[in-house]
Amino acid sequence: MSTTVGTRAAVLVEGVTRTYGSGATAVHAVRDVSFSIAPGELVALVGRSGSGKTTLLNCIGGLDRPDTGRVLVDGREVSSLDEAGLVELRRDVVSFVFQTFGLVPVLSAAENVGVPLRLRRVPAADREARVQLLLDLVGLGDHTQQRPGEMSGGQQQRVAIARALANSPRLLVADEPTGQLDTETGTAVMALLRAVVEAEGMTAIVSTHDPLMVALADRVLHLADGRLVEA
Amino acid sequence: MSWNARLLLHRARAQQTLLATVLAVALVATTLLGAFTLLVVTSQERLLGVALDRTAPDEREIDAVLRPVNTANGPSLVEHGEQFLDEVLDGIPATRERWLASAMYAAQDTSDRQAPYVYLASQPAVRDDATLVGGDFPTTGVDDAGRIPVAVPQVAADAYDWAVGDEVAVLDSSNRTPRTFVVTGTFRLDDPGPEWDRDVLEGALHEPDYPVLGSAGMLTTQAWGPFVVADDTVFTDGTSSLGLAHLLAHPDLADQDAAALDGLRARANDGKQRLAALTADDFATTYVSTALHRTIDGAVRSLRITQVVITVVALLLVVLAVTVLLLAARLLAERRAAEQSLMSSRGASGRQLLRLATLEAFAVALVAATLAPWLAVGLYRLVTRYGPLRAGGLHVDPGLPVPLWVVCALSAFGLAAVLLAPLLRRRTSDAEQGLVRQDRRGALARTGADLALVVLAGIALWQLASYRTPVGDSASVDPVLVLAPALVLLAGAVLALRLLPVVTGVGERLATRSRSLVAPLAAWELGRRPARATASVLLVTLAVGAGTFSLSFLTTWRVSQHDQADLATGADARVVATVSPLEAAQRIAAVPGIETVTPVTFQDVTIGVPSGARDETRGGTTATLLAVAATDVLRGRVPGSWEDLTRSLRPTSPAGGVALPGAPRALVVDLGSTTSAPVAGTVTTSLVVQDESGARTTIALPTTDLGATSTDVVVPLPAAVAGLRLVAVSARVVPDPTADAPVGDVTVAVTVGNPRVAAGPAPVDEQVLTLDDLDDVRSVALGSDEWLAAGDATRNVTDDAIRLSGDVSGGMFYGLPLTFAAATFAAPGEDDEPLVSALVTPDLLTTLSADIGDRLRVVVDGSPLDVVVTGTVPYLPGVPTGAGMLTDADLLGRQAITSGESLPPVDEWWLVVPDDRQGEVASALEGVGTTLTRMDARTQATDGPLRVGVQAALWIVVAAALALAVAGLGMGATVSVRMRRLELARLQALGAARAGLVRSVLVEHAIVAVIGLAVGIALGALLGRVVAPLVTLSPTGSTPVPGVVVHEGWSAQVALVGALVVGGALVVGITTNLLLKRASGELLRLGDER
Repeated sequence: MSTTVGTRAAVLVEGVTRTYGSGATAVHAVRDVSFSIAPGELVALVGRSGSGKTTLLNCIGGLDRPDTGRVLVDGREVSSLDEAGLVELRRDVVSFVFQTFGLVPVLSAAENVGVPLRLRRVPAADREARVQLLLDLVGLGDHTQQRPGEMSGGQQQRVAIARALANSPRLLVADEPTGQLDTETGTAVMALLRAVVEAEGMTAIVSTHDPLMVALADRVLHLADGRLVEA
Repeated sequence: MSWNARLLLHRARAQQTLLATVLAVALVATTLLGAFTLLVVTSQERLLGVALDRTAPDEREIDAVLRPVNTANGPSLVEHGEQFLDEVLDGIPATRERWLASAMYAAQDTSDRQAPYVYLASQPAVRDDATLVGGDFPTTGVDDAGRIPVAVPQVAADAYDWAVGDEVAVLDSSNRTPRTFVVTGTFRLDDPGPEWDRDVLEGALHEPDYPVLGSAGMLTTQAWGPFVVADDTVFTDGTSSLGLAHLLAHPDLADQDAAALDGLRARANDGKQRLAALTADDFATTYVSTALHRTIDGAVRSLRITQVVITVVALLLVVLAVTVLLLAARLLAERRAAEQSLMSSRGASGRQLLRLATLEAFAVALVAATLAPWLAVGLYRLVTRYGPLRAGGLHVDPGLPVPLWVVCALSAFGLAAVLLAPLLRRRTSDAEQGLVRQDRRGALARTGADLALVVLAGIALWQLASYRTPVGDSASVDPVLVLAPALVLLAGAVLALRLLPVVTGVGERLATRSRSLVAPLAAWELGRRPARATASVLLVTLAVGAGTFSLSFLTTWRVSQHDQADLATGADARVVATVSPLEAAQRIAAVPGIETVTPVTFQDVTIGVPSGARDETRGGTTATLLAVAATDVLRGRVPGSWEDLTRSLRPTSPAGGVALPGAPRALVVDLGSTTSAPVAGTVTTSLVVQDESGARTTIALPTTDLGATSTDVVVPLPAAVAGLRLVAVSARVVPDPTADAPVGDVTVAVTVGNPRVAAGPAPVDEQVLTLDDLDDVRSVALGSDEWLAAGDATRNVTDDAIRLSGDVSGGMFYGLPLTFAAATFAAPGEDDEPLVSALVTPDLLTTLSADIGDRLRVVVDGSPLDVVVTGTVPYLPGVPTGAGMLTDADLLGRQAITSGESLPPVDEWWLVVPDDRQGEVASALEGVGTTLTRMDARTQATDGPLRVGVQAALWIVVAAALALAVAGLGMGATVSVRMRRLELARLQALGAARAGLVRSVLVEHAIVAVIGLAVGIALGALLGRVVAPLVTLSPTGSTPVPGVVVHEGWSAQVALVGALVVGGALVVGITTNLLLKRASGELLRLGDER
């Protein structure tokens, strides 16, 4: 089982269980999982497909609610937040990076990165400056007007990472961010993730099959059939 | 069961809500079209007959008029006339009537120098319209003594002292055969209606100057009649000669279908030739008087217009329904995209997928085609159950006619075929997601198609604008008229799509500077995925266009019918009084709610250019004279206002007059006349009194011998009325033509002295009154200053007498009677008073070859009155078409009085009554006479059987447009959100609130709605302006007078747009909210799985 690092955990998961369906067809996605993540820690969540990684990440990010147990992010109990609290959490505290990038196809790279800033109603000039900074950070400063369909997978994921960093979240949740990338691109993305986490001083939890990512992580959590197991 | 059927069943179960929605849309559209079909079929089969049956009896009457030259041929002539009616009616039930009259009989043994004429008649109306004074109407044609029993007019009995049981010896003037009548009763006619025109003396009972047969008009005699016989066998069995026959048929048209009516119209149209052929051997003058064929023509034209309008709006509905079905098809396609990708990847061919979709569409069509006819009947019964639709006779059992099944089947299968449209496209929605730039070649092709559609619509619009009437002589309808509105609407909607990028371009530019995500997201979505908004823009544009056009047309049509009714009525209320003008004015003025009462002379007169002598005119023609004393009563739309138009007609000074105190029942005067030389003759003196309404009544005093004096001459007034003024005194001196003429000039003087009024209690009737019969007799001071003499007379007025005198050449006594007059006003044309001004219709000027400024002579009841034309009016109130003249009743009366003519009669009373009190006023005036109100006329103009169909169709389209647009917007929102729900879920994961995303989708639809509303309203207004005047006709199918003015009906349009905005916002908001509620975590977990 995990141990708490530091004085206050950035993420605290206690006895979380999530089941889909009921009766004989019930699927126990996550079963009685508990752990904590210290601020500034990069944790890799590994496990086979269907082991419950995405469900667990959704529960942490406030996209799903556990049936039992509780999740605390930055001291807030996510599982008890109302709709407005969850919106605030996702907008100001947690950021997501999806396996399928999750970019809005009709928006340019700059516009995609600007979405979280618009949600916080950042003035246009500040927003544009921040977007340019982040795209420069992920190495796409010259691709601001390109749309996702005009970029490679790696570029798209880097745009997604820039978007995730836009609001300077305290927790970055990445669900298999290299899952659709070739090894070389995946490695570059992982390195980028590691670098920006350190640079921005944020906490990150990344589900992955990628050994390189596992190697880059401060800590590794193993999920099997919805349970946390020792590595 | 084949795999196709199994798959369809499984899918139907799994997607039952979706399929039910698609089926509901198809069913609603098919049902609406079915209901429209019923409106068309019912109006064709039933309403024509119902409408015609409600027309005025004289508009559908057939009157065969027969005048035998050889009076002995009467029986055969009547038989052939009846045969003619049988042939024209051809089995159509009808009420038949005969008005038969004999040739003139010369009554023997009277003291008249010239034997008076009498005639026999079998007038069917006499027993209803007459009151027996004595005896009874005869019951047998000929009595045992061979005499003909008759009931005679009381006036004839009085003139010749005929009493019940008396014999009247007569000589048939046509064949000199002696006959004997025996009087069985005497009667008087109470109020002969217009049908008495068929009587030889038109219900007058007496004609003092009837031409003596064979004298070529040189000799006249008195004529009396009708002498009513038991029945018409007297004429058909040869007992009496026949002089005139009216054979009438009033066909019962209520249950006649279009084919029967068309046949009747054709037979009535060539009735004259038909009757002439049948009576060729009878040696008679014949003609057919009927307006039936014109009435049927008018009704058929109205029906055609109704059907055109219904078809036009039905086509708009079809376009709208197809658009909604396209949205439904996209919804289906979106739901099945994953399934079809899977099936394609498993080897299913495009043809197999198409077959599957076709089977499904066929099933939807089958259900819709089966249920829709029944639902259409239900809808038809529902909408025709209430209000004007019921009153208009539309609430009949329409049955299930074959056209209904055909239209429902075609509509259902046609609409279901629309469901296949997405399958025929190569591009899938997934491919569209990644599409950034539009295919240039496709865009070019679409531009070409759009351009072709716009050009086609432009040509159709030009054709419409060039139309003068939509229905030709053959009553056929040009398809351009029917198709053009739908084409224009479609082309306009296509153009609206071109506006989308412009608007979203602006939106995107604004989005760049915006802080928030809501509006920019909507602008990006529309600007970069315009294809997804196409259907919604089309839908809103079409719905608003169809709704706006319908409302505009409905308002235009109603206002035009009201305008026509207003002009045809001419005033808020018109009363044809059955009591004397004095009494009528008093009783009308006492009714609450009436703001103005004015007497009106309103009749057909002869108008010509004055030519020399008193009653001679050149180029005289018949026109309608309208003379009103107060012009604020006039109604009917004209350029400017009647008030302005008639300003030049008004008198420059009031009529003045000597007030008669109290409410006199009788006038008392002393009469006298003198001549400077002995002259034989009579003097008839008249007083003219004017009541508060301006109506003038001539009180004729008893005729006295020239040179005689009468004191205390009492004349009862027709009614005791307060506020009377004595405005004129006139005297008519008639010399005895048999006496010797005086030599040299003779001064004739007539004196009316010691005028008095008596308040009562004398009854007002014809009994001779004396001063002793009266109470409260008071003298009237004449006030000498006010009186002016007219013509060649001089006047000498003191407080208690008026003396009128004039010098006349002795030779003039062989000529015309002399007329002296004095009045409290100057004669028009004298003493700086202008001539009577008149406004005339342009066609009257043309007919008379006259111009503005010319004098015209109007002959009213034999009195020639001169007027000067000061302007033209397009039409007269109460006379929408035909030649007419409008003038001031006061001045015309002054002209008559001062020129020694009879006063123009008060034919009607025109009133100013607020709209909401006209019914109440009409009821209160029942005892005064017949009242016609403008609001009643309006109701009849809009709620007739052939008129409510238009309104029903338009209202159905408005409601359907609203319902389909709201349903379509709901489906559009569903498609829009479902196609990008993963994208929206990810935005939620980034911190976008669901409410914000719902607002964004609402903003998208608001942009779509703004474009659709703007273009739709513009299209509706354009169509309203072009089409509405073409299909707005008068109730008889002719061009409306006054002309059609297009009205947008803004209040109704605001309500429509408001309902659409609110309904659309609710359905889009609720749908989006529900769809997003189920998104987020589960969706993100499942990724792109649908």
